[in-house]
Amino acid sequence: MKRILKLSLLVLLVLSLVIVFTGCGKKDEPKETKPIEKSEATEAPKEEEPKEEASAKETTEDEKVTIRYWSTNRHDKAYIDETIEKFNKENDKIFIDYEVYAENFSQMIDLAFSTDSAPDIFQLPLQVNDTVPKGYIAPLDDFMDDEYKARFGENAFIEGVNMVDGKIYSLPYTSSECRLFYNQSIFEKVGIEGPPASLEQMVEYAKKITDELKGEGIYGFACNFASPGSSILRSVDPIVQKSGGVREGYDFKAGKFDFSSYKPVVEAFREIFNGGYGFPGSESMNIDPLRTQFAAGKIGMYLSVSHAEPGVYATQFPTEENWNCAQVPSVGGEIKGKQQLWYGGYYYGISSKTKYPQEAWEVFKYIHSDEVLKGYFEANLGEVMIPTAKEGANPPETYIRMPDLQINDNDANWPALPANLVVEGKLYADVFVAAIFGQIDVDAAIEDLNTRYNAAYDKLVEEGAERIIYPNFDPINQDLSK
Amino acid sequence: MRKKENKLSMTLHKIKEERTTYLMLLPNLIMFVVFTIYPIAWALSFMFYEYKGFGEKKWIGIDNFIRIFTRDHDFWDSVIHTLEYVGLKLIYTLPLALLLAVLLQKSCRRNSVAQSVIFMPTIMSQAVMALIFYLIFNTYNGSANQYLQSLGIINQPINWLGVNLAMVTVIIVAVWGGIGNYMIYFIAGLTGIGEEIYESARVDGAGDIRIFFSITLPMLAPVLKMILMLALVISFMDYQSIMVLTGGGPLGATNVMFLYVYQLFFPISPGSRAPQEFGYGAAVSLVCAAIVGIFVGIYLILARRLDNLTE
Amino acid sequence: MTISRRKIVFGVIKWFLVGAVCLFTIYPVIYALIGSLKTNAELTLGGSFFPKEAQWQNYEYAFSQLNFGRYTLNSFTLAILTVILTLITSSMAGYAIGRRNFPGKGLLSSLYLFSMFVSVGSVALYPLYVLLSDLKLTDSLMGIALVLTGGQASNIFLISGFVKGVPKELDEAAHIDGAGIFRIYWQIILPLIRPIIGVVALFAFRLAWNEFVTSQVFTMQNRDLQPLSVAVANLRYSANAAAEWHIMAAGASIALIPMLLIYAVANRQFIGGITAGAVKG
Repeated sequence: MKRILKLSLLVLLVLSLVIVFTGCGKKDEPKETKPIEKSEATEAPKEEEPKEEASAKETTEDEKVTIRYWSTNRHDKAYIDETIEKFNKENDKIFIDYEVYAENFSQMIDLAFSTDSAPDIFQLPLQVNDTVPKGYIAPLDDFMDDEYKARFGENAFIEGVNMVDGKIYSLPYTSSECRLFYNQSIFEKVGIEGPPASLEQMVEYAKKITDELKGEGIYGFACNFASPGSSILRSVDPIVQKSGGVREGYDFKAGKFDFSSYKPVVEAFREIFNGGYGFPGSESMNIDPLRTQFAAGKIGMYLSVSHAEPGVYATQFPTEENWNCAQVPSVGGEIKGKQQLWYGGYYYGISSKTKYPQEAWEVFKYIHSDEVLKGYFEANLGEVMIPTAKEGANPPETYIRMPDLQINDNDANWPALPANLVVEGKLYADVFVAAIFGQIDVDAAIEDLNTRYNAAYDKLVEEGAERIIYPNFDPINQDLSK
Repeated sequence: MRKKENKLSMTLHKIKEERTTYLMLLPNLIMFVVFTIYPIAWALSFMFYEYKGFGEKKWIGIDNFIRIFTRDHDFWDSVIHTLEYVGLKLIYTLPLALLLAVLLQKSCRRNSVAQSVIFMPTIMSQAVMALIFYLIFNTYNGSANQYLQSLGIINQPINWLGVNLAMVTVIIVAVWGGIGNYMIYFIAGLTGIGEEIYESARVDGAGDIRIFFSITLPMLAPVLKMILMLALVISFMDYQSIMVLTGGGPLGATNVMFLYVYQLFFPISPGSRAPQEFGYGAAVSLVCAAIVGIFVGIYLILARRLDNLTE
Repeated sequence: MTISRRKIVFGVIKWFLVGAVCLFTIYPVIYALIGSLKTNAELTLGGSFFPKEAQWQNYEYAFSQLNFGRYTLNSFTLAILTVILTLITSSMAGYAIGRRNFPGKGLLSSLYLFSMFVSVGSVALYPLYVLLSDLKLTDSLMGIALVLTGGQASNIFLISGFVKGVPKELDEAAHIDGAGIFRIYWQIILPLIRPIIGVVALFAFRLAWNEFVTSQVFTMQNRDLQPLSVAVANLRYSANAAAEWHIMAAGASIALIPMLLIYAVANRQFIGGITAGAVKG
């Protein structure tokens, strides 16, 4: 008898531990999100505050609905944190839980949905027509009336950009464009007058700077190849598009993948990096370490996106360097195509599995509100795409000094790419980075990519997807008539 | 007939007697089944399908395996990198560990302290240390290059984590983490060899080095065999510190098998548009397990042959 | 050369080599500890070995701004949970295998042994994650603790080895007094294998404290649950990583110091445990 008692006591002990710790470890109930002081260390009292706030909030917790909001942006976190705090203070019914996930965002979302713990609002990591078939996001049409839709300007809602099958899934928010960033003092040192006007000139300048200033640790060109997808998309791709090539390998006119227009660009990059003129260690450098090197005056030029850089060099890695922004060069200097916007026309989505659609919409409206976006624009955190928000706003100082930062007519949304393609093996960005560093031959790389990508797309079409083809298409006119 | 009945009833009777034992085994057994067997079963059940993480599972038969053996060059690259890693790591770690074990086996104060210092890396988090090494080996701001430059050994900073040297750096970190562990194993083995054998050898006039090769090594052989096999298996499955140190890069230079599998489930590169491939991932992981099994098998056969030779 | 001269030369060579290895081993740890007290500039630009002025505020920053207090608590919680679960389950299982003969014992032992060598590695993470979310165990550290406990077959063999060393007469004496199987375990065996229980506890603590991949995958969505190892590794990708080396060093030190302290006190036990395992194996 005693033995069984002892055993059951043991089992009870384990069970109670399970219960206690399962309860104990639960995520902290809503706490204050504090804007992060970037430079100074903070004083101790700040630590006391959140504890009291948390316990006070717990008593009213049951009444407030928590809406979880995820994004990947680091450069605007301080500003967004402030706007969220303001909302949370003023709104009695809703509490916004804002989280920034810098890495692996796309598959975090996948994981979240597969385990039924998805956020209510999140930045769309992929195009809408990749995300909608997965069943992740809800249509927004029922939430909006015509008046609300009008504030987004004319032609704001485009199939394939923020609409799928006629329903709206995301709203225009901010956009960003790829640009060339260069260090004017370095240029002056070697006697270069202005930014390169063509791809060939960019290579020439890169070589010149490296040749002359290598002894001081200064190099002409750098790129954040540690993330092939991110780096190629902001450097090689815009040059290809502007030179009359394809978007991410897809030829809309022919209705298939054709990477041959990448050849001159990849070869130019290869000349720089495989030839030893690139910043050493580029192959294992991420964008932030690259920016610190640029801020330290070690890099002549690099390609990146217009919305982040000003904030980066003002607060994240403040610099004294005389840097400027220019247009992305093209092959031969001629503009033969529009440049795809880095996010333009869509941004956030509301989860289809949210338990509180009304409250989520409230938050969604707030995120896209004039109030929030006006301040965003003035703080130079991005090119805002909502006309009503920009009315009466003071353009940020950097816009005046560097007009190339702004969006122009050559920045536009290309048509939507084939969605949910499952390509066997390495993606094109990884292949091209390998080619740039001389590990594989450029022609062989292009042929391999064409084979694999078309095989994957043909398979999708076989399974019932409609082949995307616009017979009258060309990169500069973007004629979608059939 | 009777005998069979008897055996069965004896077994049943034994089971009844040992009820408590089974109860005591139960918690651990449940965890074992859930956390060790279940994932293997899951992988086995998914390997004939194509599954992207959402939507439907699609039966594709052995297509995953055909793909592994004919179309997936990246996987076999990762296998080669794994072999590189395992080979280099063991070649540098084991002899050094053995040497240290021989030097430090006598239990005296100084030796104990040295042993404890050298063993220290095993108690620290691999991920945290990988981060520290990332800082140390950083090309521009890392202390490794700073020291080398201030000592005048190099002019330009060495690109430790670049395409050419990343594997070297990974090996350095692996050796750093492994010496202590194997040294202790060797010491345990060495202490198993009694003092008397050494004494009688010395009486016969044998020198230290001769003793080492003719007595120590042969007597250590069984333990050596065991340690080598353990080291082999563990090294094949090492991917945590590589993941933190280089992420498998740059350009896949340090991508090892199990890291490749991890990436099929949790893709690492940001901005990649590819959906996950769970079916394929399951198939690849089984091939990986098989590869490890094959190498262990080869090793065991070789070891047995060697045994037969020396006898 | 005379014999004593030889001994001296030999000694010099030996301690030169051992000293070099010790230096190599200790350097990264010292780098982290001392670096945590430097400013970012001192770390990245190099210069003197010691900081000009100890920057204790690095730690303060980590605790107050980066939530390291929470992460440390998580690490301790996870570690203690794992230790308790491991001790309970492994000791009972180790006793059963070491002492009792039961139908299926051979099969079970081989199965456990087998599991120590065969592993599917990273593929286990995804199905376990889905399973635990279905069981609602991902909201706390209990899920991770269970996964970590489930994977330690070696502890069972450690314990069973020791159990075999306890003289059977004690069992028989207790049996005559009317004690059952569990009672013998609880009152006779356990007290006598305390040393190895201590070792198992140490190993379990170390495993839980240092574990990275499992903890990372299972806390991907619950930032607040992350233990120190994951939080420190993630520092590298935080907003200001490139400019905050001193914070990374401080974070790493916070993760290292508890284990170092435990090691300082119990290092012979750790080493003894490995030795015991090796001998039995």
